[in-house]
Amino acid sequence: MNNDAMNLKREIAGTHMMLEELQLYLNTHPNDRNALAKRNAFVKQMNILNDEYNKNFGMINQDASLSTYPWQWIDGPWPWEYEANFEI
Amino acid sequence: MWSYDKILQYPIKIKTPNPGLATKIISQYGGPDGELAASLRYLSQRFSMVTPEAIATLNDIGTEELAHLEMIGTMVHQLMKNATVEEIESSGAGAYYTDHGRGVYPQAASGTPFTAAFLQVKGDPIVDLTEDLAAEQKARGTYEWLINQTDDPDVLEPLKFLREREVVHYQRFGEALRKVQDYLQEPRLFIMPKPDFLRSNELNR
Amino acid sequence: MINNRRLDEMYYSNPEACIPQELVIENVRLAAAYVPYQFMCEVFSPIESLAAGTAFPELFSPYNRKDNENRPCRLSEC
Repeated sequence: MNNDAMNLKREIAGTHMMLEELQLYLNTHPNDRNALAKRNAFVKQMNILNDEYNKNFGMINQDASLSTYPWQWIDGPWPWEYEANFEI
Repeated sequence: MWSYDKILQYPIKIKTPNPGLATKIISQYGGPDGELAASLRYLSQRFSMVTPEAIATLNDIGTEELAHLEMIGTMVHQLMKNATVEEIESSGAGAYYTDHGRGVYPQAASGTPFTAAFLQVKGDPIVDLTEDLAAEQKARGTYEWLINQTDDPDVLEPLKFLREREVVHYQRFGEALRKVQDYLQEPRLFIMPKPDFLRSNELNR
Repeated sequence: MINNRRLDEMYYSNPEACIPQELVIENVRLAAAYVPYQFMCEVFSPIESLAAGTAFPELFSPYNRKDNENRPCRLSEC
């Protein structure tokens, strides 16, 4: 996978991390407006990054990514393979 | 239900095979304090949990543990993948190789296969959340003993990431327990006014 | 890093400062466990959060390998 794909994956993983953290926090602090606003902003960023990845490098979200012909979901590398991962 | 994202929660890129280490890390896949036990514990306990905060916490941490399970499986896979049989034998991974080759099987470092006996669902919210707090500490401890056994930064960094997640989960379960304690202490004896149809019945008598 | 500072010091030197946790737990009962609430103040950037394993500086508590220092000394070392 090329550098652009890896850089995009790094941003996607970072954004996933913010969503995970803010969502777990909001579960026990549902009235924190500041955290909620941050979380919603990261959702928008996540959508932009996922679309960008989908457009250039194939499917990333099982239920949200579009596929060109032929069906792209079966394309590797899968996440557990060395080549699929970026250097942090 | 769930939907799969084709990306790990934290990247794993291990350059040097180390089958001996793989058969220790496998404990966090299918061992007593591992990610599979954690995920099943939380996802099963959520059905009988009380308070919206604690239910959501179990649901979402149980889900995150599946992403951790995948990370551990990835580490074992990459540590085993390009190892020679000689390396496997000399590193002490021969027993594992005999039963599972270079595959990823849910077992403890000791070889005990995964069992639901590693977890409990008591159906009492205080009991279950207290078990969850302990489970997060046991997993943190396991990650520390694993960290003590390697110098490979490709392995250390994901182990440190997973260890820190246990710390965060402990905090969230602690907060969920506070919500449940408050909820269970609330007075919940309500005096219902007698409905009209019963009153008119009285008048007619 | 925020977790290395003493929280009460932060509080008294600057009462306006955001305190990232509950400092007093009220109505505590015996035979119960309590974890203080965390309160979000600042968060790490996405890449920092990924590297740290948390978005919250106050929850970041890395492990420094100290197993060998904690064991009892061998007879030859004591």
